[in-house]
Amino acid sequence: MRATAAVRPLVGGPSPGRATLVLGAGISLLLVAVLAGVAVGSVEVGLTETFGIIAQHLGLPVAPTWDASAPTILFEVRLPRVLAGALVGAGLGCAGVVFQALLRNPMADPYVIGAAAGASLGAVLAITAPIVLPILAVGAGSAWLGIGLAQVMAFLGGLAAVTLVLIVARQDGRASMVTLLLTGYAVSSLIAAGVALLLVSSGRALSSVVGWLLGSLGGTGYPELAVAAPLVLGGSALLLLRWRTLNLLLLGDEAASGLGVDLAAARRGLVLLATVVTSAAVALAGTIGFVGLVVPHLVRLAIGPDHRLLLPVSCLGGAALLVTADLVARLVGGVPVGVVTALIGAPFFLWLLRRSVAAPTSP
Amino acid sequence: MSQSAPEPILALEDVRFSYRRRGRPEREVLRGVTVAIAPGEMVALLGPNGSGKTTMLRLAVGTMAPSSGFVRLDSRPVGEWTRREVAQRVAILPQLPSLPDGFRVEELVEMGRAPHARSRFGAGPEDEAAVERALIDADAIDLVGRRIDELSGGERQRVLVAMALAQEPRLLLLDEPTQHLDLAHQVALLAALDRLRRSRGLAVVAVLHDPALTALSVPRVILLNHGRVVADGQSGDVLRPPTIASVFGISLPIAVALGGGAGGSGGSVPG
Repeated sequence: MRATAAVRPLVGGPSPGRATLVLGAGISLLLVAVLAGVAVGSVEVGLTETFGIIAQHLGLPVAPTWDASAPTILFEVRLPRVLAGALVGAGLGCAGVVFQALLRNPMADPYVIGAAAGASLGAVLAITAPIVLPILAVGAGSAWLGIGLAQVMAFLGGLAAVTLVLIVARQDGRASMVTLLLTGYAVSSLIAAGVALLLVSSGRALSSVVGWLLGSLGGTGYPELAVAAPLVLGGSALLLLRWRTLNLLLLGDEAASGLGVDLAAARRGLVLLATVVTSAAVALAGTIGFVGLVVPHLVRLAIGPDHRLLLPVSCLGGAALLVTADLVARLVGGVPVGVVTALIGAPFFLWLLRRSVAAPTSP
Repeated sequence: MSQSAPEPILALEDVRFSYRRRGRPEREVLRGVTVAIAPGEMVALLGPNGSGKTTMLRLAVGTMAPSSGFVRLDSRPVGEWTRREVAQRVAILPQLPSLPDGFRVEELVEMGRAPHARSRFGAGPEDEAAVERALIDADAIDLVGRRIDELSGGERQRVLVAMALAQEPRLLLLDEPTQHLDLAHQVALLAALDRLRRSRGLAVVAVLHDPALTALSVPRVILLNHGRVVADGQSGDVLRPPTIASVFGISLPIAVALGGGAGGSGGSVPG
């Protein structure tokens, strides 16, 4: 026996030191983004005052040095918006990692198998045709929860579209991942056509629908956050527990199955959880593009493909990125945040494409 | 070796398998295969392309179910074990596994511990020991710390064998394990597998193509053709030029080192 292994442990994944460092960096990044998102805006509050207001809110004896409207701006206007950005970014980052591993495709994102298209249709139906009877029923439910009809319809639409894709893609009780990907594309296109048709036929709601489709974090309140947060965070936590399966899926079907993965059950669970997370995120903020595609790649480049760290860091990174992008969007003057992420994302996507053409590699 | 026949780790009884495609005639890949593999036995599976070798391995791990007949793993129909229970007993090295970029050698080998994982979070000392042993046995310990995408084809193959060994199976199924290996590493791999079956009591079934190499390194050969077992016995008896010629449809003067270095230990259980 050689003594090579005595130098350092062979197993156990990232060393505790490295994991702490990486996760700490992610958390710090997110905290900075959140603080900036709360403190900066059209009405400057200032960092010291922001800390003061937060301290006072926590019950600490702090003499107010700020304008009387500042706490309201912070807690009622900016904080819910920043929290929504963090929540949506975390969900999209996490779901993006899962879909890329599941479909073994580096171009996959959380929207690829129909969640975004379905959510769009749901939201557009709610905005343009709220008098249809089934939608009225959903409307009563959403009013009871204190959240918008469009949001509930978007969430349900996302779930319904992915369910439809799964059913169509099934052959002999199981679906190949390529079939799933192509079916998702086809169904998404079909739904997009339906959305376009609805838009054309009802001109009046056009601008509000387009704003929603581009993605925006404005107008999110605490009731929406209270409903979406358990869905996004709970789903992400359950996905986090499946890191081992995600790692094994990268080896291909046969090897993963040989290592004890029940492929059908594992995929069902992963698709379901990732779709719930995605649909909740889309319902909250519309179809914000590129976060779910870009963040997993950036994080993978930085820390490697092991899902033990890739998943949590993508959550933190997605949250930080979207909060920052939303801050930029606000400062530029009310540009939808989806436009900002696309402006970052599209060039990155092109770079990724060129890189993968130059050196063909697996995800 | 003992003369009393031990309970086979793997038994196929009159196994048939067809690929069903809508609107097309069935293609019967296996047509009544009966084979038993004993613990600690090393068997080579030979046959022309499309003779059913890979299908046989897939049926053995239960990723596909036979159209008729029985596949018993550890004395129980393979379909009655969960995927995890199968993986605790059998490791399979597929022909064309995809290797994700970015992982290091030891991280990939550790994935072989998945079926034994007790915790959702990490690995224990027994995993550590198994990974180290596997790396040594597969002659891959000197690759530790390197990234998979930087390895040569032969080095990857050794890492994959290490991953399968880390699984600590009782039966190891290898689909063309010598692909990408140079001659020296082919011989070394088969010798290492032979050592493992002696030391760990591991049963090994390997799909091979080279009759000379097989005769040199593997005691028992199962020869498949058109989905049937056409010969099953000691490699020296099976790998005779007339048999090779009739099965593969070629008549090359094969310099088979008959009777030399085949391990010599009995272990042949003719159908």
